[in-house]
Amino acid sequence: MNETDLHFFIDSTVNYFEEITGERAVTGIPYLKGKEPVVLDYSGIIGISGKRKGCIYITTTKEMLKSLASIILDDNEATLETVKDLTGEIANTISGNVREAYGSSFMISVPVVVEGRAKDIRLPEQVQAFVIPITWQENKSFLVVCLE
Amino acid sequence: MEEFDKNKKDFSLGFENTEITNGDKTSELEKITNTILKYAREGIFFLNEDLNMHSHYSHALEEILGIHYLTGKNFINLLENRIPSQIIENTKEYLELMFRQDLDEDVINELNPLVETEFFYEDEWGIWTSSKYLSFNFKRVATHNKKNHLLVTIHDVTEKILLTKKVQQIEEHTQKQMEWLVNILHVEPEMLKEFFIGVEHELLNMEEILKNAKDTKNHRELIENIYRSLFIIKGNASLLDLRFFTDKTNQFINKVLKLKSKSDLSGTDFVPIVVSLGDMREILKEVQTIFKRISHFHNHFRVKRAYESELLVHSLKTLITSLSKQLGKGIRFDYRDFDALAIPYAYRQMVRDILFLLVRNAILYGVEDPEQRKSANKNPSALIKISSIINNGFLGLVLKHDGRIDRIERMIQKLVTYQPHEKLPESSLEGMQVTQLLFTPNVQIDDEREIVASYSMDMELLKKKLKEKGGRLKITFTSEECCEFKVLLPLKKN
Repeated sequence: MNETDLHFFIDSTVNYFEEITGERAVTGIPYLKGKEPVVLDYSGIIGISGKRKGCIYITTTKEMLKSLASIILDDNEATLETVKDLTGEIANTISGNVREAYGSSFMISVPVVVEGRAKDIRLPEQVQAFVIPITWQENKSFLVVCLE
Repeated sequence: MEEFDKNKKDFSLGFENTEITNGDKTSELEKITNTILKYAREGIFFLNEDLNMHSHYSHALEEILGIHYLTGKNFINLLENRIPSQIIENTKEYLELMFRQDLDEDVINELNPLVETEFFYEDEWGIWTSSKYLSFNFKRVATHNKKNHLLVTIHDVTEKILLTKKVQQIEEHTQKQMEWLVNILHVEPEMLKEFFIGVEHELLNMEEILKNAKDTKNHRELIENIYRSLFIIKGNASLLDLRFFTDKTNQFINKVLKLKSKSDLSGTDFVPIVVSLGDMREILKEVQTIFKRISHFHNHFRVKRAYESELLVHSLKTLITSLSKQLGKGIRFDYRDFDALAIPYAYRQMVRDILFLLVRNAILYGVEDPEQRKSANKNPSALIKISSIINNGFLGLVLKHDGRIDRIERMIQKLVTYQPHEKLPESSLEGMQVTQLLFTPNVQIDDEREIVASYSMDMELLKKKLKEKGGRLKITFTSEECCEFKVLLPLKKN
């Protein structure tokens, strides 16, 4: 994993918030993921394989997704299903950007949405994972990048 | 098999429009075929022109592909999400050509994109968690003299490929690892172990700093703390002459310095820091692996505790020799009253760190050049004396040097001039006041900026370490000619 890769994933995520809501998300200080779980209410996971293997996921709170729903869908009473779909939507946007940037020699999976605070998201062993805290409208989320 | 070849023209396997001349023979052939398909270790199946899989396929195929009920499945669809799309596109084109009878089969086979392909398997979440290397072989099968089917065989070549990759990887790493090995061989195993512990400690410290940064607005403090940890790693690496580690740390430090010079900092500015931190962790892991391998040999020549203790004095001597040579200073080292064996094991690393720090600072900031000492009627070679004492449940360490202390005084004077808001006492600045100033991190003064910064950084670190262990430090300026540092560590705690 190099700096360019990490910047790319961060920019993809931050840009999503700005493009969709018009309000920029703030990137926190990134850190190396240890053994402790980094999982919030909803997580959108994208698998990457091919030339380089790994996994990227964004994990966020229900409150943040509800706030997003109120802006994007003009829906102040977003259902759990809507909230879940939104998680997939964020992950899908990141996935699309990754696909565009990394080309056809990489395999980018369809995002998988995990609901609830799972024990942890299983990441490839022996590969360093980076956690990037992202705050949008005071709501926190984490982008986790684990790529060879 | 001969029977199978002889009857090739009658070969049916249930294909539509296939001539069946003899029912019994066909039945027998089917039995043989089924037996082959049952026991073959390879994946075997037939593919029609629509690229659909035939109902007759080997039992091993399902296991190899990790998919059940393959009859009628489209081969291309089956590949999707399991190999990169680029290879799937190439496969489509290749299979199209394979079904064209006007083209030479051997020539077309040269284009087979599925030779030793990595085939990925999804877990319950649809994420690829495992893979196998599969070799697909395609062979035209004549039925009614038409080449309208392909016999496909799949071999699992994972072991072979992984072995080849491992060999390649080893070759690529050998050069680097050899350099590292040569670089660490000259270092005593015990010292190397201590170095690793130290690096691990600092890496963890940096990881914690970043992890706990959260919404902090004080990015400067974070940077200073990271810089401090790197400074320690670099110092220890230089001391052991671990060049690759020193170089890597220097690169990291340069990134931190770049960050220090930036006026407006955001989270993304820390990306180079976290990536470098990840790199350093990887290097440490690799070097530790090499060390583990060679430690097998070291174990055969295991040293006694007495010798291990001697190593501490030995490394202090090395530090004094290299630093004094580098700075053109003369040093006499007196360690007659220092009993390394008396130091409890739990304190060894800490005592080492403290003495290294004090000795280094004494040479850097206290000891004058031989010419200066001569003109001050002093011995051209300065004296650094260390001693240890165990008394009243305390381990005492004393470092004395007869270098000048006016440099420190100048620092204090400058501080008074440059930072009047510090409300420093105008009279004597010795004793506790001086100590407190030394313990103030990031003090920066004009031409001595780096010296003062690193000195105060070191001292603050020492203070922190002592605090952790419930210890204390006393600095005494007995005269213009002598400075004494006394460290007390409680023996019962920790």
